[in-house]
Amino acid sequence: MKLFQQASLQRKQTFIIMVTSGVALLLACLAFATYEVITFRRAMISNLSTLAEIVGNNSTAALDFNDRKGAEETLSGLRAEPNIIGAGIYNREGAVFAVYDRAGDNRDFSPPPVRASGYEFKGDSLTLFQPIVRKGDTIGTVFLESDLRALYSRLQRYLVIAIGVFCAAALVSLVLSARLQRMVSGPILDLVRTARSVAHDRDYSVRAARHSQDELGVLVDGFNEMLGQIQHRDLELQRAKDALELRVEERTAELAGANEALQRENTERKQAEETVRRTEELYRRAISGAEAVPYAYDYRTRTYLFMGERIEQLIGYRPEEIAPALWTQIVQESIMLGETAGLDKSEAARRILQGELGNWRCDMRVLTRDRGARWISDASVQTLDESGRPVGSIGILQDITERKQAEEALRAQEERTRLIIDQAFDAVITTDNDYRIIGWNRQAENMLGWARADILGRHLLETVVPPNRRQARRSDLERFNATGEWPDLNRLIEGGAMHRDGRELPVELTITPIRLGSGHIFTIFLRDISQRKRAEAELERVHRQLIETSRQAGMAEVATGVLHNVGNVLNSVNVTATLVEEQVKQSRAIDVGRLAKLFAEHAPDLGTFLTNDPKGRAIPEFLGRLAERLAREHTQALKELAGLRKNVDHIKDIVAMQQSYARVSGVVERVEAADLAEDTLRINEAALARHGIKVLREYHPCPPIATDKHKVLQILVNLVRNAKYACVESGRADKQVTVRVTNGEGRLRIAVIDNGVGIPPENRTRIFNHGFTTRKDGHGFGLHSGALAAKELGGSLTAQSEGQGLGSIFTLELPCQLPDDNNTKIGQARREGIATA
Amino acid sequence: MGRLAATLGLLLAVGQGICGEASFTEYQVKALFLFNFAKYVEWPAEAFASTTSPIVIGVVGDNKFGDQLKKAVDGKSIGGRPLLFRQIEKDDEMAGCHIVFVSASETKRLPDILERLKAKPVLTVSEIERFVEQGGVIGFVKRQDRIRLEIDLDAAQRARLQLSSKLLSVADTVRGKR
Repeated sequence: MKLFQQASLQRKQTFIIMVTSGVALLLACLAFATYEVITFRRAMISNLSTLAEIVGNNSTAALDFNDRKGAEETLSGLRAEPNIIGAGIYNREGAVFAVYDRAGDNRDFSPPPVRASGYEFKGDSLTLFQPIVRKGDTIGTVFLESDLRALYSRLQRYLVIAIGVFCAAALVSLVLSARLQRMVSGPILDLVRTARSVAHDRDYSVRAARHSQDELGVLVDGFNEMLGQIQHRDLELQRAKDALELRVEERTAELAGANEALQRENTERKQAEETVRRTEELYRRAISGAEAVPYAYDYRTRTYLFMGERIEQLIGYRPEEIAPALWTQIVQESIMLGETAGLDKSEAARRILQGELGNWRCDMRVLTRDRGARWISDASVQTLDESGRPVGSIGILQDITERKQAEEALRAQEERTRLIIDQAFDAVITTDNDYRIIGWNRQAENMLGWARADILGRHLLETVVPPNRRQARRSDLERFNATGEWPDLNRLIEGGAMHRDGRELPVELTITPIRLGSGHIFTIFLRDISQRKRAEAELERVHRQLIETSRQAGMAEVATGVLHNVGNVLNSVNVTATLVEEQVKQSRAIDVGRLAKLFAEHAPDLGTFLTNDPKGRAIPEFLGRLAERLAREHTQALKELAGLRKNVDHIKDIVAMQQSYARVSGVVERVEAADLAEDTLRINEAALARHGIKVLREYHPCPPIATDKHKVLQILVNLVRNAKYACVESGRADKQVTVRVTNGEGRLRIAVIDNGVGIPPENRTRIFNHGFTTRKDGHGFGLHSGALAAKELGGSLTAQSEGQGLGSIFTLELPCQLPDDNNTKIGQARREGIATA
Repeated sequence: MGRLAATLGLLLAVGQGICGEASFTEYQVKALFLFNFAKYVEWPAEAFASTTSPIVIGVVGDNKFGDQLKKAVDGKSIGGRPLLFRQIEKDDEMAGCHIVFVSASETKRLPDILERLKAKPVLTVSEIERFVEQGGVIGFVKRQDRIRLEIDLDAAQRARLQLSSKLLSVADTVRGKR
């Protein structure tokens, strides 16, 4: 295309003509060819159809009578048509009935499966199916396939003719166009040459030649005319240009100067205006934001020189109505403030007018036009003349009703709070962050003896805090002020408070800090707990008494046991004594007396008597027998007496043990666990034996421990006694109590195991409770005090039971070594125990 | 007609499906041929009572067609004439037929039968050997397992029957002058 643009007009014209005529020719040829092809194809189909009709008609009988040979003969007639490649006849059922294949070509024809009536053009052939119909009855189908050789050869011929025509036409039009185009392009080319020379040489005097009268002629005329005008203008322009340049330079200089001055001036004025506007805006906003009404008053004329419009919104009167007389009428109450505070209103006014005071501040309650009340504050300053005399004032009126109401509400609120605090059951003291007392309610007055008026402003540490606690409290406060930490804050703690008369009261107190500005104030709630303390002391006393009672009860029981034991032993003693008595009664020692009497009767003739008298002769023999008998009696008596002494020793032991049990406890000594167990069983021996309870002992070797023997004994005696009761209550025949001593992990364990009634699960947690018992005559204190005692000894008492009727195990666990300062520990444990109880 | 075509179609389809062309029994083919003859033969006008009178096909002797022939013609019509099948019990009945098929069982009686039909517009057909030599119009002959036709044009002419040239073209042998 670019090439085309550069080509000359002449060539372009030739090209256009050639292309146009070429395309026209080509289209015409194509149209003819297409028409020819379509027509020819139609003719082919028509021919083939006719052929099929003939073949079909000639094949009906062959089909009817199944005569393939006949059908094939009919088909072989197609040899006359060289274009037919192959043909076939199908019977009514669509099976191939007869086939024709053109001889002489290389293809092997076989008819395709039968299809509905119709033709189809394939690449190089035309196929046709046509039904064979006789009297409306379709009895078979004919298939024909024809090659397209005829069509193609026809097209080939057409192509040759078209090319020939095309070439001839092109040649003719080329020759013609070369001649004819000169009529148009000649004058244009001439004009082009002229224009080129004008543009190149800037010579506007050249003119183009004119050849014809048509549009081209007009164009040449126009061109020449234009050249003439340009020539003329060119000259004018040059002249004007020279003059103008000079004038422009002058004006530019002038304008620049003026503009600069104007700009400077403008900027300055704008800045000034802006400043004034901003200031004004600021004032206006400040005053209207505060809902304030500005005014100016002249002393000499006693009139308002100016009164803000908003005054009408405040009190309902128009600015022009405002005058001193109106104020006198509507002001109901005035409170002087600032410099004039405390002064009477008229007095203040007088001083102002005399120039003694410069500022006036006053809150007024004003009756508005609609009979409402409003609080208005009036603040003004003097305006002075040149000599410094006051001539008037300017001021601002402001609605402060809401503020006043809020103040009132606050005051009422404070009053209510004070009343509540006064009515409180607790003493409530408020201090600043240096413990200076700033609040003191009625209860505080009652409790601590200080009247509110006397104590306010005094220091807490010097009045209420008892002397021995002052140092601690002070350091608490200092630490809190420094670090903000004070663990006891907001918690209920116990302490003491000093009454005005110097008594110290036990109190419960809570200190609550309240943040106030940058510091704190503290509210201290105090409650007198002397009553409670007394009650606690009483409780502890009763508790101790109970323990003592219990111990004594234990002792009584032990005493019973002891008496029983002693009684048993005394029985033996009695038996022995009786035996000895009997022995003495039956003693042959009496015979010695009889013998002495016999000797006395026969004293004169003792010798004769002994030798002659038959009685006397028997004496020596009798004496021998007597001596023998006496010696026997003597031995027996000694034996009985030794038994007697042993029994008496036993009684002594028993008594000593009772004393040991009853002795006041608190002494720590080294003891063997087995001895403790043995002693326990001995104390309960009689009772256990009485109820036929079998006792088993399982003592594993243990090191001796240091403990309060008597306390342990009390615990164990109590446990064994409980075990005995449990067994008796169960009523079983094989009642049995086991005492087991074991050593494990530095702890000594003494377990008392019975097979008695056991402990039902619901009671397992309660059995150590004070006052809990399952026995009719129990006081419910044994196990409770036992558990406490075990705790005092640094050990524990635990109970186990599988349940009702399954026996129970009570285990006393003790540390093998008590700590060195056992006394303090025991004391502490005791206190804790009481607290727990 | 529709029903028969359907039945026949079904039969043919089944037969073909099993063993192709050869599946037609001999008598099926013969029945079909008898029916087809009606299309290629023109009877003189006096052979029919009216233009819609039926073409009657009668069978003399043993009917080996079973009901094949009856099926093949029942409900069909050619050129507006319905087709009727009739089993000939008495020889008198033969005169009312337009096509008479003489069964092989009647070989001995053949001359008598032909004598009875002489000069009557009846198309005689038979499977009896040398039927056309004895004066029959169309004879069925078996060649290479196919049923072929022998036609005697003189006999046809005697019976005043016009046989289509197409029918002649499928016949194996055509006797008499054309």
